[in-house]
Amino acid sequence: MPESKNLLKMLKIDKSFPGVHALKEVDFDLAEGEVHILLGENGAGKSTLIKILAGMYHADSGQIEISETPTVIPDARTGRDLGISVIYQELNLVPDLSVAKNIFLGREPVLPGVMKRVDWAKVEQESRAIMERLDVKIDVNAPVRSLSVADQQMVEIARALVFDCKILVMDEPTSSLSGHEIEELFKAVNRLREHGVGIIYISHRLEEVHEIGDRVTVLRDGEYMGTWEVKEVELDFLITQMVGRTLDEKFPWTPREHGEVALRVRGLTRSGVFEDINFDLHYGEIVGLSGLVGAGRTEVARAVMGADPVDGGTVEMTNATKEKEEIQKLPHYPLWMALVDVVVFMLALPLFTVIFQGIYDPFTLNMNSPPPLFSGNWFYEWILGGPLYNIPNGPTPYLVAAGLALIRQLGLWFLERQYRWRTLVVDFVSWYALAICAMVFTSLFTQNFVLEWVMIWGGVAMIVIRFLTILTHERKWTPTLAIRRGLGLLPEDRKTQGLTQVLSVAFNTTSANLRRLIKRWLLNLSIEKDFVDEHIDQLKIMTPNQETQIRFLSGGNQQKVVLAKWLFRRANVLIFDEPTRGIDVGAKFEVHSQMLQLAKDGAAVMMISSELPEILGMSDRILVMREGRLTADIDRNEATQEGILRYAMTAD
Amino acid sequence: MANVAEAPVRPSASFMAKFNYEKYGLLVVFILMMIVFYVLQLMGYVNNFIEAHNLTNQLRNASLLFFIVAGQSMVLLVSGIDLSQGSLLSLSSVVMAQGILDFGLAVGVLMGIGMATIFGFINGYLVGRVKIQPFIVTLSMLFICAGIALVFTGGRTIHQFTSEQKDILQTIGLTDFFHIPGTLFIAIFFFIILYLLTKRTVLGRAIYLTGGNEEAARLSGIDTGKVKLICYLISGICVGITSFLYLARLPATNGLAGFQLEFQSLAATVVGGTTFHGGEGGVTQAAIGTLFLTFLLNGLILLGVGTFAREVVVGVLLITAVVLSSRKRRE
Repeated sequence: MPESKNLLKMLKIDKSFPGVHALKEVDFDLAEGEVHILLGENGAGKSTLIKILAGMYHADSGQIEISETPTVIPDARTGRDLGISVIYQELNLVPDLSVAKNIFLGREPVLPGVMKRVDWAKVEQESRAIMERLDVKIDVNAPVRSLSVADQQMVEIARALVFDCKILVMDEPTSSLSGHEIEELFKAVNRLREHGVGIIYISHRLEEVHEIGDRVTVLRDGEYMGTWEVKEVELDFLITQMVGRTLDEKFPWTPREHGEVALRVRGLTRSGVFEDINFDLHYGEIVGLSGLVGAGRTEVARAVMGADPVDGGTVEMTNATKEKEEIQKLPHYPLWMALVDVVVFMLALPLFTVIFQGIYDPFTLNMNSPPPLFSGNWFYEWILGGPLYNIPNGPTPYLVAAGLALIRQLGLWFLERQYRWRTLVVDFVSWYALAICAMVFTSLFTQNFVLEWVMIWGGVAMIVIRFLTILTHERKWTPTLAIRRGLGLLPEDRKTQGLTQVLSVAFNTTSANLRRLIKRWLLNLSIEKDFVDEHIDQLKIMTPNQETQIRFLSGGNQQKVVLAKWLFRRANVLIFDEPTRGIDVGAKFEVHSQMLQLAKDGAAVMMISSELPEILGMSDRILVMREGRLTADIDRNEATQEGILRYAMTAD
Repeated sequence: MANVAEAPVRPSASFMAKFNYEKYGLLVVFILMMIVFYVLQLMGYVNNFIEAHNLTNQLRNASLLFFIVAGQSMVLLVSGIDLSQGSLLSLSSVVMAQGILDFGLAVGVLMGIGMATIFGFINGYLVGRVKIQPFIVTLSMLFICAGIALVFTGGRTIHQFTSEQKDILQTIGLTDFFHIPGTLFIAIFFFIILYLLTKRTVLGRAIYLTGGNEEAARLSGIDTGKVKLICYLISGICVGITSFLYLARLPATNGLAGFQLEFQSLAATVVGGTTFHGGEGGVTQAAIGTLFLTFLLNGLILLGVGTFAREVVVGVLLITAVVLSSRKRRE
């Protein structure tokens, strides 16, 4: 490629956020007709650099030159006017508008005149021209919703071209494309290159570097590592440039004995997100789950927890520790269920009335001589109840029935019958009672019995379905069940998923195991108070008192409350999702020590982290994910930063 | 470096700092309001405000209103809304009245309360399990119940109870003990039950957690759909009890008995300090809100403020309450 004009030059760009030095004097330049690849680990500063270029952030110091003139980009609009377009990973299209309308969204050409009517003909015509220029066959009148992701990406590129864009930034454009679609994209990129557009290409797929790039720049920890001609560098060299973050942080890791398998995940799949995930987690073990952002780690954790639906695969928890008894000691017959049963039995009283007071035959419509019990139509009379002609008057029979029901419930309470089958019985009785009540109502006010039959057969059908479900179906894996088996998740986004911000520290701490507070049918708040006080001291949670609302606590302290919550639950399989993101060093060490302490006490711990030093420092074993698949299972002693990054970024 | 533990900060608070303005601020306003009305009465602008007969009547009104306000609070606590309360009250009261006429007192009352419970269950099922927007569900139910109630009665008033039935009903509805209405005791009893339910049971905790942050509650193992269902069910039961007490006070009802009552209950709930975001507020706030709204409206009536002007006052009050609670949130 001949030496071409310099399009963009960023010199000594420096940017800090509170607590983070995101960019440290980074240089970057881009020539016309060049594909410049930007590489770096999670949090290396790539997106910050791009956002500064697009005008969304402002650099603290440094200079930007566009076409060799120093420029200030105060906002996104100016950036766009200067010919800078960014195509983000998640596409910004209006799905119900046509391709042409999307391309010209927000800058439609107008017809002359006062009304400023949009020149739709021109919109369509020019969209066609752009599509031809990109050499893709997309119907410009089709709604964007009907296009494949790859075609939608083309629409985004076309949209950028309408701006007369000179600098196109593509943020991981291939992450959701298949092999063939990637080829198409690269063709379009090459065509843009021929037209003299400079392209900044961010990717996590290292193999693409040689395929599409001209030059490559590596950032590490906000630092500029260098720029090379792609032809001159090897992938391994790039990887060594990307890693090498300082390992001076202290981690409280000590070797431990590992026990039996605690959590067994087999073939877990969710199409488009992750595929065929298999791993075991042992008691007493800390497993690190590494990978780049967007590799599907959090999604796997949520699926294991039962929080999101999956398309296939199993999660099995053996629950074989000493805590087993305690966790599974749940009342089989809760009080509210007993009360429901009482009500149901009161409603079911008309059924007894039917049996004891007589039934009439709907086929002869003879009301005056009810047939004797067990006569011809017994199925109709006994099983379906048959329409009523009399229901009891006055409160006595109801009170008697309620009393009987209460005795039965107390009996059940002590016997602690199996929950699921009892549900079936309750279903049966309650639906039956509902049917009878419906009959009472309808036969009071109408002469039409259709509704009764619908209710009766609906009830029967529902009971049959419930019956079959119990027989054939495994219980659905929900957070409730997962937690009952001893699993706990400290979510990545603790503000919205881990804690309830408007409630107090104490409320949040006990939220996962409210039953532990029950003493004589009511919550015993002194248990709560003691536990929370003890753990505020033990975990060094900085809070004025335990009634303080969570939102007044700092990130690190909030994380400790989430931890306390699972301690209160006595969860013995814990998944920490980015446990130390955005919390200060002291709290970080605290969280790590607690994690280790849990493992020492026999819990199985899985830690998802984007920080390689943390993964290397805390894990006994490291799993690596890449694009929704597990690509490696490395022992602590064999793990290196380069090795992990290689598995996370390149296909083998 | 990392392991340095600073002692948790536990400042000792004075009474003024400790006082929970969010919870009891309205109580202070309520007392101030009563004093203002009393002063106006002494000055001769208001007649018979602080006077045994009026207070008894207003306490009776408030205790009737409290039931549906409590029900509404439970629903608002799980960030829902129950618009069907008023028309469900109409429906359950006419079913109750007709039931009393046809089958006697006990059966009729059970039928009415059962009716309200079943509709509460349907509301809850549609919101909690089928996961439809609460606004849509309860708005539809508003029309359905109002329609059924009017079709059922054909626009007539049901009042043909026997004198014995009337006696029993009015004994429950109108007996006073030393000028304290009997219904107030029922309301207090109910208040205690609901207070224990929300503060001292697993379900109550689950209600607050679900309302505060549904996703977090789900990830803590709470079946949020079930919790919502139960809240709507409670609202239905509350409506059923209210319709009984209304019928007990005045043994006659028609298809418009609870017309637009849901707005009164929403107003009292919001003024009391239960927010639409869920997770904040509770039964205590419901009680205070009910008292406040009842006595404010009564005072305004005695002051000679017209119906429509009173509605303006209620509207302004609502906006003030919401602005105050959102300002508190933003802090």
